[in-house]
Amino acid sequence: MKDITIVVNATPKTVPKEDFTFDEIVKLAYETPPYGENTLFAVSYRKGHGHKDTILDPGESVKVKDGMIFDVTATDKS
Amino acid sequence: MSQQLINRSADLKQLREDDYDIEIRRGHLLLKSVPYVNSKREVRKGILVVPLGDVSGDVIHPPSDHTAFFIGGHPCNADGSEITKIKHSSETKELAKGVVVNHMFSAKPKPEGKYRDYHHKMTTYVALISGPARTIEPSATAQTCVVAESTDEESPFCYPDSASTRSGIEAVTAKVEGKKIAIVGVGGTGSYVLDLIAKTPVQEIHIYDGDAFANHNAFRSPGAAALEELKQRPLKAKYFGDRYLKMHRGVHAHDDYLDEDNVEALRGMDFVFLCLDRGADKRAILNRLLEWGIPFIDVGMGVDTVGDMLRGKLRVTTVTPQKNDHWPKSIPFSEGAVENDYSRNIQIAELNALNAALAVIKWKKLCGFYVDLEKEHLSMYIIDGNGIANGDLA
Repeated sequence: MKDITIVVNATPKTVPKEDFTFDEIVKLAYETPPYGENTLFAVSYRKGHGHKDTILDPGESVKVKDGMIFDVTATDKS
Repeated sequence: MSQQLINRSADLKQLREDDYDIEIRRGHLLLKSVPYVNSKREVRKGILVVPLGDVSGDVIHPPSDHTAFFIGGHPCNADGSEITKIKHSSETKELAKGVVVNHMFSAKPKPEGKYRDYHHKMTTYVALISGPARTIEPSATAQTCVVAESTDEESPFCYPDSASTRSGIEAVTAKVEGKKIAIVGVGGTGSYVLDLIAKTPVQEIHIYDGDAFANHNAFRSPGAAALEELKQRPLKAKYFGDRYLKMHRGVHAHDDYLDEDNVEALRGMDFVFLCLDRGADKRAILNRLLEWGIPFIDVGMGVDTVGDMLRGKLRVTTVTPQKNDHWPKSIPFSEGAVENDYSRNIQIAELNALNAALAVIKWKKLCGFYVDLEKEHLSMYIIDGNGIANGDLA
């Protein structure tokens, strides 16, 4: 199958497959995940198969498509 | 008592909303700062006085007659001649203790013959008295926007919330009355939460923070700190406590960090906003809140650079006794304030403010103030998409 181009943290990424786990999305965002090992990431996406802004929970998987946009950050600052 | 009477009488309330400086004193309605022209053709200020009619319970009946009284010189036309349209008699007498008048007026409204209510009566007399004053001083007005001190002992505000009165939403606003709120951490987001909660009639607002308020904090908190204030290096809790006590009497500032040793202080709270980035303490606090069945909201943001721009998200996690199984996957316990090569503590005022606003809106939904059809218990505002993702629907 042909490569898919998605956007992760405002950066285009070309990927060879459709199915991604939460951890794999985080790795796409950060090649070496920063912070400590126990950092809890918050992942959301839009323009996927469901279109609207959706949260990806830790442990979940998602099917990607061209143009899908992911946002990956920790949310521990206040 | 005076405030309640005014609130429950549409005509008196309207006078207040029109920014007339009114007061009820010993059964009389006083309307102060009424500009008038005296016999020397000078513009002065007097007080219009009208006895209040019967009060049934706490509702005032319409005025029984068309007469009124005045404290001051006799109002004149621009040429210094007494306004005969209103003139009745001039005699200094005490209508009640603290109410000593100098003149009596009599002016029947046309064509009705009698005044519909106190708003009609007072505004008619003010127009007759102040009209000539305005030909000499065009800006003269009795609508002086004076803010009355709140005499309502039950109100947590230092002065009445006329915003809710003006837009007619007091019944909705009342849904948050009587509550005890805690805000743990008054850093960036917590200080904006305080700013918003202080404008609601909750009973008590307890803020906890052991940090000092430094220069960088000024750039992500509401209002504008003065250089002199910053030089004092106040503690955050005291800095914000002093500020918001000017508006809300129920602010209690605690300049300690909340941790497992003193978390017992939260036991009587109705709701808690967790706005701290001290992970270990947050874990201790959260466990107790779950144990005590106290609902809470945890907020957090993450902002990173991409090239020379910023992106990221703001999170609101809501936990109630009815829904409390979803939080482990979204509430972090890292020590957020620690900066390292990868994680910079980027917080920007508008993001702190938005995160706080989203949290307060959600709290108000839980109180029944706003409609909540989504019933999400996790939400994320994504900066680069301007969208909000909702999850953990109840």
